[in-house]
Amino acid sequence: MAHRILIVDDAPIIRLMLKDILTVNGYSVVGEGNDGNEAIEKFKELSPDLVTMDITMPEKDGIRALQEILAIDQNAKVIVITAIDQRDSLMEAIRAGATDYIIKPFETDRVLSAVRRAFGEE
Amino acid sequence: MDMSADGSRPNKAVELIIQLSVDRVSQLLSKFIKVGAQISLEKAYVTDLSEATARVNAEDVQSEVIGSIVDVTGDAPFKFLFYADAPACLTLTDLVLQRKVGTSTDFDIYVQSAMQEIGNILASGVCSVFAADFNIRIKPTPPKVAHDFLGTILQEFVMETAAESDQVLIVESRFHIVRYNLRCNMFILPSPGTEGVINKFFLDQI
Repeated sequence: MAHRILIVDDAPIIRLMLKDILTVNGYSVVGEGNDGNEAIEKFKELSPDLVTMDITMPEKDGIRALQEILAIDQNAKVIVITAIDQRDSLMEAIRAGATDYIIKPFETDRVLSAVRRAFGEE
Repeated sequence: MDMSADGSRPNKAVELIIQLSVDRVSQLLSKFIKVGAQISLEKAYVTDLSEATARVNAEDVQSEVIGSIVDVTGDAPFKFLFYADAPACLTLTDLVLQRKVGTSTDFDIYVQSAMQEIGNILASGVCSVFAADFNIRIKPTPPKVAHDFLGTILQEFVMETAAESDQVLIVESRFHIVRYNLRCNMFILPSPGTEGVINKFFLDQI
Protein backbone atom coordinates (compact mmCIF):
# COMPACT_ATOMS: atom_id res chain seq x y z
CA MET A 1 0.00 0.00 0.00
CA ALA A 2 1.24 3.49 -0.87
CA HIS A 3 2.53 5.68 1.93
CA ARG A 4 -0.04 8.33 2.92
CA ILE A 5 1.13 11.95 2.90
CA LEU A 6 -0.42 15.21 4.13
CA ILE A 7 0.78 18.40 2.38
CA VAL A 8 0.62 21.69 4.32
CA ASP A 9 1.50 24.97 2.60
CA ASP A 10 -0.32 28.30 2.30
CA ALA A 11 0.61 28.47 -1.41
CA PRO A 12 -1.77 26.37 -3.58
CA ILE A 13 0.84 26.22 -6.34
CA ILE A 14 3.40 24.59 -4.04
CA ARG A 15 0.76 22.09 -2.86
CA LEU A 16 0.01 21.28 -6.50
CA MET A 17 3.71 20.87 -7.37
CA LEU A 18 4.31 18.57 -4.41
CA LYS A 19 1.15 16.58 -5.08
CA ASP A 20 2.22 16.01 -8.71
CA ILE A 21 5.71 14.88 -7.69
CA LEU A 22 4.45 12.55 -4.97
CA THR A 23 1.54 10.94 -6.80
CA VAL A 24 3.51 10.35 -9.99
CA ASN A 25 6.08 8.55 -7.84
CA GLY A 26 3.64 6.22 -6.14
CA TYR A 27 2.73 8.07 -2.94
CA SER A 28 -0.82 8.79 -1.87
CA VAL A 29 -1.62 12.41 -0.96
CA VAL A 30 -4.46 11.99 1.55
CA GLY A 31 -5.01 15.63 2.41
CA GLU A 32 -3.89 19.23 2.10
CA GLY A 33 -3.76 22.05 4.64
CA ASN A 34 -3.42 25.79 4.24
CA ASP A 35 -1.94 26.71 7.64
CA GLY A 36 -0.71 25.28 10.92
CA ASN A 37 -4.18 24.91 12.42
CA GLU A 38 -5.38 22.87 9.45
CA ALA A 39 -2.20 20.80 9.68
CA ILE A 40 -3.05 19.72 13.21
CA GLU A 41 -6.75 19.09 12.46
CA LYS A 42 -5.94 17.00 9.40
CA PHE A 43 -3.15 15.15 11.16
CA LYS A 44 -5.60 14.05 13.86
CA GLU A 45 -8.28 13.20 11.30
CA LEU A 46 -6.14 11.39 8.71
CA SER A 47 -3.18 9.97 10.66
CA PRO A 48 -0.83 10.33 7.66
CA ASP A 49 2.49 8.47 7.47
CA LEU A 50 4.28 11.75 6.64
CA VAL A 51 3.60 15.49 6.65
CA THR A 52 5.30 18.05 4.41
CA MET A 53 5.06 21.37 6.24
CA ASP A 54 5.85 24.88 5.05
CA ILE A 55 7.47 26.94 7.81
CA THR A 56 6.25 30.45 6.93
CA MET A 57 2.46 30.47 7.02
CA PRO A 58 -0.14 32.90 8.32
CA GLU A 59 -2.08 32.12 11.52
CA LYS A 60 -0.08 29.28 13.04
CA ASP A 61 3.36 28.79 11.45
CA GLY A 62 4.92 25.46 10.54
CA ILE A 63 7.23 25.24 13.55
CA ARG A 64 4.40 25.57 16.06
CA ALA A 65 2.33 23.08 14.09
CA LEU A 66 5.30 20.68 14.03
CA GLN A 67 5.65 20.94 17.81
CA GLU A 68 1.94 20.25 18.32
CA ILE A 69 1.97 17.29 15.95
CA LEU A 70 4.94 15.79 17.78
CA ALA A 71 3.09 16.30 21.06
CA ILE A 72 0.23 14.23 19.61
CA ASP A 73 2.53 11.57 18.14
CA GLN A 74 6.21 11.66 19.04
CA ASN A 75 7.01 9.34 16.12
CA ALA A 76 5.34 11.56 13.51
CA LYS A 77 7.43 12.19 10.40
CA VAL A 78 7.43 15.84 9.36
CA ILE A 79 9.54 17.27 6.53
CA VAL A 80 9.71 21.06 6.75
CA ILE A 81 9.87 23.26 3.66
CA THR A 82 11.23 26.76 3.60
CA ALA A 83 12.33 29.38 1.13
CA ILE A 84 16.02 29.75 0.42
CA ASP A 85 18.30 30.18 3.39
CA GLN A 86 15.91 31.01 6.22
CA ARG A 87 18.58 29.40 8.35
CA ASP A 88 17.30 30.43 11.77
CA SER A 89 13.82 29.05 11.12
CA LEU A 90 15.27 25.89 9.66
CA MET A 91 17.51 25.26 12.67
CA GLU A 92 14.55 25.90 14.97
CA ALA A 93 12.50 23.33 13.05
CA ILE A 94 15.27 20.74 13.19
CA ARG A 95 15.71 21.32 16.93
CA ALA A 96 11.96 20.93 17.33
CA GLY A 97 12.15 17.46 15.77
CA ALA A 98 11.67 17.84 11.99
CA THR A 99 12.58 14.64 10.12
CA ASP A 100 14.21 16.46 7.22
CA TYR A 101 14.00 19.71 5.26
CA ILE A 102 13.52 20.92 1.70
CA ILE A 103 14.56 24.35 0.43
CA LYS A 104 12.44 26.22 -2.13
CA PRO A 105 12.78 26.45 -5.08
CA PHE A 106 13.08 22.66 -5.01
CA GLU A 107 14.00 20.00 -7.55
CA THR A 108 11.92 16.83 -7.89
CA ASP A 109 14.91 14.69 -6.90
CA ARG A 110 15.41 16.56 -3.64
CA VAL A 111 11.75 16.10 -2.67
CA LEU A 112 11.84 12.39 -3.46
CA SER A 113 15.15 11.91 -1.69
CA ALA A 114 13.81 13.49 1.53
CA VAL A 115 10.57 11.47 1.39
CA ARG A 116 12.31 8.17 0.62
CA ARG A 117 14.80 8.76 3.42
CA ALA A 118 11.98 9.47 5.86
CA PHE A 119 10.46 6.10 4.98
CA GLY A 120 13.81 4.30 5.10
CA GLU A 121 13.64 3.63 1.36
CA GLU A 122 17.05 5.13 0.57
CA MET B 1 24.42 49.05 -11.93
CA ASP B 2 23.17 52.46 -12.96
CA MET B 3 23.53 54.72 -9.96
CA SER B 4 23.67 57.86 -12.04
CA ALA B 5 19.97 58.41 -12.35
CA ASP B 6 18.56 61.67 -11.04
CA GLY B 7 18.69 62.06 -7.28
CA SER B 8 21.36 61.13 -4.75
CA ARG B 9 23.27 57.90 -4.78
CA PRO B 10 23.09 55.36 -1.97
CA ASN B 11 26.31 54.68 -0.06
CA LYS B 12 28.88 52.07 -1.19
CA ALA B 13 27.72 49.37 1.22
CA VAL B 14 24.17 49.70 -0.05
CA GLU B 15 25.37 49.62 -3.67
CA LEU B 16 27.23 46.37 -2.95
CA ILE B 17 24.34 44.68 -1.18
CA ILE B 18 21.96 45.72 -3.96
CA GLN B 19 24.21 44.25 -6.62
CA LEU B 20 24.61 40.98 -4.74
CA SER B 21 20.87 40.82 -4.08
CA VAL B 22 19.90 41.40 -7.70
CA ASP B 23 22.33 38.69 -8.84
CA ARG B 24 20.89 36.29 -6.27
CA VAL B 25 17.31 37.08 -7.27
CA SER B 26 18.14 36.53 -10.92
CA GLN B 27 19.59 33.07 -10.13
CA LEU B 28 16.60 32.10 -7.99
CA LEU B 29 14.05 33.27 -10.54
CA SER B 30 15.83 31.24 -13.25
CA LYS B 31 15.89 28.19 -10.99
CA PHE B 32 12.21 28.45 -10.05
CA ILE B 33 10.89 28.88 -13.58
CA LYS B 34 13.61 26.66 -15.14
CA VAL B 35 14.37 29.34 -17.76
CA GLY B 36 17.17 31.91 -17.78
CA ALA B 37 16.27 35.37 -16.52
CA GLN B 38 18.53 38.25 -17.56
CA ILE B 39 18.78 41.52 -15.68
CA SER B 40 17.82 44.21 -18.18
CA LEU B 41 17.81 47.24 -15.90
CA GLU B 42 19.17 47.87 -12.47
CA LYS B 43 19.28 51.23 -10.77
CA ALA B 44 19.11 52.71 -7.33
CA TYR B 45 18.30 56.27 -6.41
CA VAL B 46 17.31 58.37 -3.46
CA THR B 47 14.39 60.65 -4.20
CA ASP B 48 11.78 62.82 -2.53
CA LEU B 49 8.68 60.86 -1.73
CA SER B 50 6.55 63.35 -3.63
CA GLU B 51 8.53 62.57 -6.80
CA ALA B 52 8.94 58.85 -6.24
CA THR B 53 5.66 57.64 -7.65
CA ALA B 54 6.02 59.87 -10.70
CA ARG B 55 9.48 58.43 -11.38
CA VAL B 56 8.51 54.80 -11.01
CA ASN B 57 5.19 55.39 -12.73
CA ALA B 58 6.93 56.54 -15.84
CA GLU B 59 5.70 53.70 -18.01
CA ASP B 60 2.52 51.72 -18.46
CA VAL B 61 0.75 52.95 -15.34
CA GLN B 62 -2.53 51.75 -16.80
CA SER B 63 -1.33 48.20 -17.43
CA GLU B 64 -2.89 45.44 -15.37
CA VAL B 65 -0.30 43.67 -13.25
CA ILE B 66 -0.08 41.11 -10.47
CA GLY B 67 2.39 41.94 -7.73
CA SER B 68 3.73 40.16 -4.70
CA ILE B 69 4.55 42.45 -1.79
CA VAL B 70 6.71 41.30 1.10
CA ASP B 71 7.46 43.21 4.28
CA VAL B 72 10.88 42.22 5.56
CA THR B 73 11.41 42.80 9.27
CA GLY B 74 14.49 42.75 11.50
CA ASP B 75 17.76 44.69 11.77
CA ALA B 76 17.43 46.35 8.35
CA PRO B 77 13.75 46.31 7.33
CA PHE B 78 12.61 46.92 3.78
CA LYS B 79 9.64 46.40 1.49
CA PHE B 80 9.92 44.14 -1.54
CA LEU B 81 7.72 44.13 -4.65
CA PHE B 82 7.85 41.76 -7.59
CA TYR B 83 5.37 42.20 -10.42
CA ALA B 84 4.69 41.29 -14.01
CA ASP B 85 1.94 42.27 -16.40
CA ALA B 86 -1.10 40.02 -16.45
CA PRO B 87 -0.30 37.97 -19.58
CA ALA B 88 3.27 37.41 -18.35
CA CYS B 89 1.88 36.06 -15.04
CA LEU B 90 -0.02 33.35 -16.94
CA THR B 91 3.21 32.30 -18.67
CA LEU B 92 5.18 32.41 -15.41
CA THR B 93 2.59 30.10 -13.82
CA ASP B 94 2.96 27.58 -16.65
CA LEU B 95 6.75 27.75 -16.32
CA VAL B 96 6.62 27.19 -12.54
CA LEU B 97 4.32 24.20 -13.02
CA GLN B 98 6.39 23.02 -16.01
CA ARG B 99 3.29 22.91 -18.19
CA LYS B 100 3.01 23.84 -21.85
CA VAL B 101 3.02 27.64 -22.08
CA GLY B 102 -0.51 28.76 -22.91
CA THR B 103 -2.19 26.24 -20.58
CA SER B 104 -3.07 28.92 -18.01
CA THR B 105 -5.76 31.21 -19.40
CA ASP B 106 -7.58 32.48 -16.30
CA PHE B 107 -6.35 34.43 -13.31
CA ASP B 108 -7.14 31.60 -10.95
CA ILE B 109 -5.68 30.77 -7.54
CA TYR B 110 -2.65 29.13 -9.13
CA VAL B 111 -1.66 32.30 -10.98
CA GLN B 112 -2.03 34.39 -7.83
CA SER B 113 -0.18 31.73 -5.88
CA ALA B 114 2.65 31.51 -8.42
CA MET B 115 3.24 35.24 -8.11
CA GLN B 116 2.98 35.04 -4.31
CA GLU B 117 5.53 32.24 -4.20
CA ILE B 118 7.93 33.95 -6.60
CA GLY B 119 7.81 37.00 -4.31
CA ASN B 120 8.39 34.82 -1.28
CA ILE B 121 11.40 33.01 -2.75
CA LEU B 122 13.01 36.13 -4.20
CA ALA B 123 12.55 38.18 -1.02
CA SER B 124 14.06 35.30 0.95
CA GLY B 125 16.98 35.33 -1.49
CA VAL B 126 17.61 38.99 -0.72
CA CYS B 127 17.42 38.17 3.00
CA SER B 128 20.04 35.46 2.51
CA VAL B 129 22.46 38.00 1.01
CA PHE B 130 21.94 40.30 3.99
CA ALA B 131 22.53 37.40 6.40
CA ALA B 132 25.40 35.61 4.68
CA ASP B 133 27.45 38.55 3.44
CA PHE B 134 26.66 41.22 6.03
CA ASN B 135 25.51 39.22 9.07
CA ILE B 136 22.30 41.25 9.17
CA ARG B 137 19.30 39.38 10.58
CA ILE B 138 16.08 39.96 8.70
CA LYS B 139 13.01 37.84 8.01
CA PRO B 140 10.32 38.01 5.32
CA THR B 141 6.66 37.97 6.35
CA PRO B 142 4.15 36.02 4.23
CA PRO B 143 3.67 37.85 0.88
CA LYS B 144 0.51 39.74 -0.06
CA VAL B 145 -0.69 39.57 -3.65
CA ALA B 146 -2.25 42.54 -5.44
CA HIS B 147 -3.95 42.41 -8.85
CA ASP B 148 -4.51 45.98 -10.06
CA PHE B 149 -3.22 48.74 -12.30
CA LEU B 150 0.53 49.21 -12.03
CA GLY B 151 0.14 52.85 -10.96
CA THR B 152 -2.12 51.90 -8.06
CA ILE B 153 0.15 49.14 -6.79
CA LEU B 154 3.28 51.28 -7.01
CA GLN B 155 1.65 54.22 -5.33
CA GLU B 156 0.50 52.14 -2.39
CA PHE B 157 3.88 50.42 -2.19
CA VAL B 158 5.83 53.69 -2.05
CA MET B 159 3.37 55.74 -0.02
CA GLU B 160 3.39 53.32 2.92
CA THR B 161 6.70 54.86 3.92
CA ALA B 162 5.25 58.38 3.84
CA ALA B 163 4.55 58.47 7.54
CA GLU B 164 8.18 57.75 8.35
CA SER B 165 10.23 59.86 5.96
CA ASP B 166 9.91 62.30 3.06
CA GLN B 167 12.87 60.76 1.20
CA VAL B 168 13.11 57.21 -0.07
CA LEU B 169 15.81 54.99 -1.53
CA ILE B 170 14.37 53.02 -4.43
CA VAL B 171 16.07 50.01 -5.98
CA GLU B 172 14.59 49.06 -9.33
CA SER B 173 15.45 45.99 -11.40
CA ARG B 174 13.94 44.49 -14.52
CA PHE B 175 14.33 40.90 -15.57
CA HIS B 176 13.93 39.73 -19.11
CA ILE B 177 13.04 36.11 -19.74
CA VAL B 178 14.43 35.96 -23.22
CA ARG B 179 12.90 32.76 -24.56
CA TYR B 180 9.38 33.96 -23.83
CA ASN B 181 10.03 37.70 -24.09
CA LEU B 182 8.62 38.31 -20.60
CA ARG B 183 9.50 41.32 -18.52
CA CYS B 184 9.25 41.22 -14.74
CA ASN B 185 10.11 43.97 -12.31
CA MET B 186 11.42 44.11 -8.79
CA PHE B 187 11.53 47.02 -6.34
CA ILE B 188 13.23 47.18 -2.98
CA LEU B 189 12.33 50.05 -0.69
CA PRO B 190 14.49 50.17 2.44
CA SER B 191 12.85 51.63 5.53
CA PRO B 192 14.27 54.89 6.88
CA GLY B 193 17.41 54.01 8.83
CA THR B 194 18.12 50.79 6.94
CA GLU B 195 20.85 52.41 4.85
CA GLY B 196 22.69 53.41 8.03
CA VAL B 197 22.34 49.92 9.49
CA ILE B 198 23.75 48.32 6.33
CA ASN B 199 26.67 50.73 6.40
CA LYS B 200 27.39 49.94 10.05
CA PHE B 201 27.31 46.16 9.51
CA PHE B 202 29.46 46.59 6.38
CA LEU B 203 32.11 48.51 8.32
CA ASP B 204 32.03 45.85 11.03
CA GLN B 205 32.89 43.21 8.40
CA ILE B 206 35.99 44.94 7.01
